[in-house]
Amino acid sequence: MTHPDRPDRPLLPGDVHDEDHLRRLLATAADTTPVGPPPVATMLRHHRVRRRSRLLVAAAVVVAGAGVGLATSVPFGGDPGPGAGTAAATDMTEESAAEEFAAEDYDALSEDAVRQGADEDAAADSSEDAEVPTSMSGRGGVMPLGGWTSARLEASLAGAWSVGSAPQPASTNGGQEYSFGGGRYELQDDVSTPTAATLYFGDGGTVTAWTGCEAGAGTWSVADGTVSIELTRGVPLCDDGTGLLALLAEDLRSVRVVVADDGTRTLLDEDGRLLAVLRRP
Amino acid sequence: MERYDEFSDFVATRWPRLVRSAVLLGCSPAEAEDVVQTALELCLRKWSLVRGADDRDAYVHRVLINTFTSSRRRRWVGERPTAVLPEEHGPDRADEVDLADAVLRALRTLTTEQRAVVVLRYYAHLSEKQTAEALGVAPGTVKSRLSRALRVLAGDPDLVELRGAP
Repeated sequence: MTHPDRPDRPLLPGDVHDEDHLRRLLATAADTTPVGPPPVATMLRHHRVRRRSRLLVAAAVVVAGAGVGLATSVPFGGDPGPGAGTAAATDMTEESAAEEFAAEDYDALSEDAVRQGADEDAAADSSEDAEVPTSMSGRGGVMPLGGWTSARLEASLAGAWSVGSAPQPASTNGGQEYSFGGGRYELQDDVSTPTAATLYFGDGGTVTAWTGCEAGAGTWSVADGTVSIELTRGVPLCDDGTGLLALLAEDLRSVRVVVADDGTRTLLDEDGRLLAVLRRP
Repeated sequence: MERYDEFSDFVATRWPRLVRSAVLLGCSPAEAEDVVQTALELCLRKWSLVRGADDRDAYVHRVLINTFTSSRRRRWVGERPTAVLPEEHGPDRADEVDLADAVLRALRTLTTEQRAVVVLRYYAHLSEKQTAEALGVAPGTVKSRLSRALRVLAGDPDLVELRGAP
């Protein structure tokens, strides 16, 4: 019958004030609640889907600025079709666009992804590491995003690329590897061939800026869970001649870009899992 | 993959107690599992913060308390009505159920803040300092809330009846 933290100090009369008694009461009451096993797999799957969806959504939002000929209706302001991308880009900030897109697209895509990819997800869990390419040379086709089993992201960027930041030593696959986190990274074309892509990361993995693209600069489409992006060579992407491909992932603080001999850019997350592939035709 | 392994191990050992803490805080059993799952998914997203916390349990309980509080601010849509109830068979646990009912009703007479202090101190076995960290308040506030909560429980007729006449 003492104060919980002052054994020498009497508290109030009554058994309920005895610390041990109260502990026993609570434990007994709590134990009447049956508790099943923790849904760890579900939590991990939700986590992976959320990460991939943010990545996919943000990439799609930005590249939508260049959108002509949308294959499906994508909420990005205005009617989709030729020229729609520019109008939308001028009317919406990147945050509002990302939020609007994320809110609607997440429901549409993630449910689909979870439903269709339930079995594939289990397989992907065991083979995620195996999916990381060791060599990109000659590799073609569309590659799946790491944990997003029913969606694919492909970006085809025409024209030769040069790299806007200092290259690091060549990686083991014969290409060049660049590491960065929380900063800005550019894959920028030379001025004469104004097709380019910029990967922009703000502080802490949050996209802080993006620019729109000129109408007719390229196409992107969503069909059967596949996002395809193709930018047309020789068409200015933006007023300053640069396009911007922004990747937004809340937990993504570090991304590796592996550049293969054929120009394919492979994006890997901090654990080495495949995020996306940017492939030149 | 280390992060996911660590998370999985953590959840495996803490899940039952976290769920039951949520029940004592005022959730139904099903709602408690949902709230704890939501809280743990939030923790997974910021696992580096959990890992770096001085006291992991206090940190996770703080997330749990916040998630529980948030769930009370909006209409709960986690439950789906069903026309068919699951059959349940088991031993007669009338006494335990009576006790649980009395305790839960007594806890409901406390304010949310007082209930949180009692649950964290006496069920989750957090120290006074840990409780203060989990709730984001000063240790003195924990003491005063605990004192007031105990006074309320002392006069609770259900608990008086439970422990019998003096």
